[in-house]
Amino acid sequence: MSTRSAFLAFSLEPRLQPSKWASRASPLFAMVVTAVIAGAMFALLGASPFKGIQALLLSPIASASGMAEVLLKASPLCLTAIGLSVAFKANVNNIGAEGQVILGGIGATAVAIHAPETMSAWSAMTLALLAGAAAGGLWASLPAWLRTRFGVNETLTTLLLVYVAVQLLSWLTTGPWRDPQGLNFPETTLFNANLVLPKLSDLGWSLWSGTRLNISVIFALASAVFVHVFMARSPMGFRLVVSGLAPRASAYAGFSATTGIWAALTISGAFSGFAGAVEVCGTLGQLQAGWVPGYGFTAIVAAYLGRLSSGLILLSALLLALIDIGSTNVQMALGLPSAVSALLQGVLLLSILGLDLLVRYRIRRTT
Amino acid sequence: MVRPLLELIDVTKRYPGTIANNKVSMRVMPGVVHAVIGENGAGKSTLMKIIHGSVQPDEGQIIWEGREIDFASPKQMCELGIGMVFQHFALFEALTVLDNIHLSMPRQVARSETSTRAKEMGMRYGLSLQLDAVVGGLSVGERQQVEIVRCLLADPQLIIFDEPTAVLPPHAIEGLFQTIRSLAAEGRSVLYISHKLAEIKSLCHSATVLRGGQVVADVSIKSTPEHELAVLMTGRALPTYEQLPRTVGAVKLQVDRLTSAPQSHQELRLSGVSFEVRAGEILGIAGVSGSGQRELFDHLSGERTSIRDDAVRMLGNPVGDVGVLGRRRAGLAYVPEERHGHGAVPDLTLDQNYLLSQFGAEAKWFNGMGLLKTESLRTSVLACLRDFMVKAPDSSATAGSLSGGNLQKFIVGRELSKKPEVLLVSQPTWGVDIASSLFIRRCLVELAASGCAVVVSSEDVDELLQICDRLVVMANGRTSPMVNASSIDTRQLGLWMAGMFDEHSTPEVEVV
Repeated sequence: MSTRSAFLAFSLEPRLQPSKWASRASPLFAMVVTAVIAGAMFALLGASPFKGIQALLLSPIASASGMAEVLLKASPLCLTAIGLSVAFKANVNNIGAEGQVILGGIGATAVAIHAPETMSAWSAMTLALLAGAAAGGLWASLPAWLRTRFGVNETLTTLLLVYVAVQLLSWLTTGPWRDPQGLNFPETTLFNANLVLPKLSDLGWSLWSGTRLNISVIFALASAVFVHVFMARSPMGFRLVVSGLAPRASAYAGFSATTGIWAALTISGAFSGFAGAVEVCGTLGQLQAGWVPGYGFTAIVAAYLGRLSSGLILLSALLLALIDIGSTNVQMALGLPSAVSALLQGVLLLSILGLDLLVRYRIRRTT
Repeated sequence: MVRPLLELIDVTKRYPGTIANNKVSMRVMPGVVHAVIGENGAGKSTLMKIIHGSVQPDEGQIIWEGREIDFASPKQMCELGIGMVFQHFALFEALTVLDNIHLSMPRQVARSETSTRAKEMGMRYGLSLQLDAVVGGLSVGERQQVEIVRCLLADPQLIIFDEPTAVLPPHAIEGLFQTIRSLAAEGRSVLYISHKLAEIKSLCHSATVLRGGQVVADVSIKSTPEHELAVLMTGRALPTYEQLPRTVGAVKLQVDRLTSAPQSHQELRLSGVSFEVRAGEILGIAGVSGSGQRELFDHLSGERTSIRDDAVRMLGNPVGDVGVLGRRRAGLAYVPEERHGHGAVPDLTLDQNYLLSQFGAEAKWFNGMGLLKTESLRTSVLACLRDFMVKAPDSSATAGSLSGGNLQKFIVGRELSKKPEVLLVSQPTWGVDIASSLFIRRCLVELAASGCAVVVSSEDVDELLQICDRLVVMANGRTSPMVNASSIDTRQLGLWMAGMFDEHSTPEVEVV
C-alpha cells in the first residue's frame, strides 16, 4: 500500500519496556564486537589476529602474577569508578576524578612523611588513607561550592582543577617535599615500611605469594558493597537518585538541591582520593612529580560501562584493566604501537553505547 | 443522497503493544459538525493525526470526496482541504500575529495580501484579531483565534478542532461555538474532538463514539441523551454521585496577601493572594491555566517559601518561610498537577515513589542503622494499591508503566494514607479516565468529611462545582473574593476568570 517502507528492509521499533535480556547481553555482545574489530585491526597491521587476541585477552591472566597485576590495576580504577557512579547517578558531572586522585595521593603523603615513627603501623596506615579520602573530597567540594554559590557548571570546574592538581603535585615534589637524598629527582622519600599497604601474600594467602597484589583489592570489593547498600537503602542515596532523575520531584520530596550537589561531589571526590592514597601507599611507596594516574579518566568509562551499578563496575574495571595490561603485551609480542590500549577502550565503549540501542528498541523487518 | 466529504474505511493503526485504531470507519457529511468522542486513550488523537496526514495508518482506506487518498503528508492533506486547529498551539511567541499567519502562507503571497485576507476572515467569523500584537502577550483564547484564522486562510473544506475548549475560559467558549456554527453554515465540515458531553450536545449534529480504539457507535446527537453518550463512551453506567454531610470547623489553612517575585520570565507574579480553608471544607481554585496556579501551589507546598512567615498559616501557625519538610510535618499533603517528574518519578518503582513524599513525617521508614526497611515499606505500598484500587502488577513496577488514571490513584492514595490536616490537589483528574476521576473525587469528598481541609485547583469548572463548598478564582496572579459554590452564576465566573474582580481592573482576556 505504501511504497515508502519498501526501501527499508529493517526498521527500529521502540520497545514497550526496556529489555532486561538485551540490557544484560549487550556488554557481552560488545566484547565480541570489540574482539572482532581488534582481530581485524591486528590483521591489517600485519599480525596474526589470533596471536593478537591471545596476547590481549588471555596472556595477562595466564599466571598468578599476571592476574595479580590485573587486579592491582583494577582496584584503584574500581574505587574511583564506584565513587563517580554516585555523582553520575545524581546527574552531577564530576569528570575531574584524575585531580581528586592526585590530591588523595598528596593527602596520604602528607601523613606518611610527617607521621611520628612511634605511631603504630595500623593507625598510621588508616590515618594516611583517610587523609587521602579527605583531600580528594575537599578538592571536589570546591566545584560544589562554585556550583551552588555562583551557578558555575561543575563539568568545567572539576576538569580544570585536574590541571591545578598536577601543578600542585609538581610544586610539592620539586619544592617542600623533595627528598634531600634523592639525587635531585622530583620525588619524596620512600615511605616507611609501616606505611606501605600489606601484600596479600604477607597476610598468608599463599595463592598470591611472589606477586605485588596488596589489600587494595579488598577495599575495592568493600566499596562496591558499601555503595550498593548506600544507594539502595540510605536516605541520602535515595535523595541522590531522585535528584538525578527528576529535580522537580526532588523538590517535591523536600530535598535541597544544594545538599545533593555537595554530597554527590564530596562523596565521589573522597572515593577518588582514597584510590589515590591506595596507589601512593601501595605500588608507588612515594610521591613522584611524574605520577599520572590516568585511571581518573578511565574510571568515567568504567562507570558508564558498568551502567553506574556497583556490581557491574567491578566487572568493567577488571575488563578495562585487562585490556590495558593486554595491550602492553600486544605491544611487546607483536610489536604494535602503544595506542592500541586507548583504541580498544574506545571501541569497547562505542560498541556498548551502540548496542544499548537494542535495550530500548528492537529491530523489526519491514516488508 | 449526498456524498460524504470524508470517509474512513477500516482504518487500523498499531503501535507496539497496542492497537490505537482498530478497523475504524466513519463518514463526515458536508456542512456538518461531527463529534469524535471518547475517553483518554480511546484513539481520538491518533485518528485525527491520520486524517491530518501526520500519522500513516497500517491498513484501511481514506476516501476524500469520493476519491481514495494514498496516505499523504500534512502538506498534501492541506492542499486537499483539510485543516487542523491543534490543542497545543504552534505559534512563535516573539513574532506578531501577522508574522505568524504570514509564515504559513504560500511563498508567493505578499504580506499586504495576507493582512487583508486575515482581516477579512476575522470579520467574517467574528474573530477580533490585532494583527500587529506580539503573540507572547496574547491570552490563550486570542492565540486560538490566531490559529483558527491561520487554518481558515488555506480555505479548508474540513476543519479538525482537537479539544479546543480545554484551554478556554467559559465566556470565550460561546464565541468559539459561534465561529464553528458559521463555518458549518457555509457548507464546511467540522470534526470536533472532545469528551465534554454538554458541549457536544449544544454544538454537534452527529458523533462517532470511540472506545479502546474501536468505533462503538455512530449516533445522531439530537436523538441521544447525554447519559446514554456517557455510557457508550465509558462502556458502563457511571456510579452516581453522593454528597456526604460535612461539618465545617476551624480554619486550617490561611493564605494572607501572598506575594511572590518571579524567578524567570515565564513565571507570573502572585500579588495579594488571600483565602482560607476550614476543616471539612473543599475550596476550589478556578481559573484558566497559567493564571498563577502553579506559582501558588509551589508556595503552598513549601517548594517555594515567602519572606513573610504569616503569608501562609497552617492550623494557626505561620509557615510561610517553612520548607516542604516542615509543612509536611505540620500535616500537609500535596498531589501536584504533573505526575511524571513532579508527583512521581517514572523510572522508579512504586515502592520508591511511595517513599518520595514520606520525608519530614516520622522517620519510621529507616531502621537504627539508617537503612530503609524495605519490607514494611512494601507492606504499606501494597495496602495503598489495594485500598485505592490501583491496577499494578506489583509494588516493584515502575511508576511510568502505570496508566494516567492508575498513577493518579496511587499518588492520591499515597497522600491520603498520611491522614493529612490539609490536602492540596492540583488538577485531580487531568488525563484520567472517567471511572478513576469519579473515584478520586469521591476520595476527596470523603477526606473532607473526615475533617481535612482540601484545596483543589482545576480548569474544569464543572468538576469544581461538583465537589467544592467554596470557590475562589485566579487570574493573572491574583485571587477573586471567595464565594459559595452553590450561589455563583457562570456569567460572573467568566468575568472573574478574565480578571475582572472589580470595576477598576482591566480584563486580561477579551470577553466575547
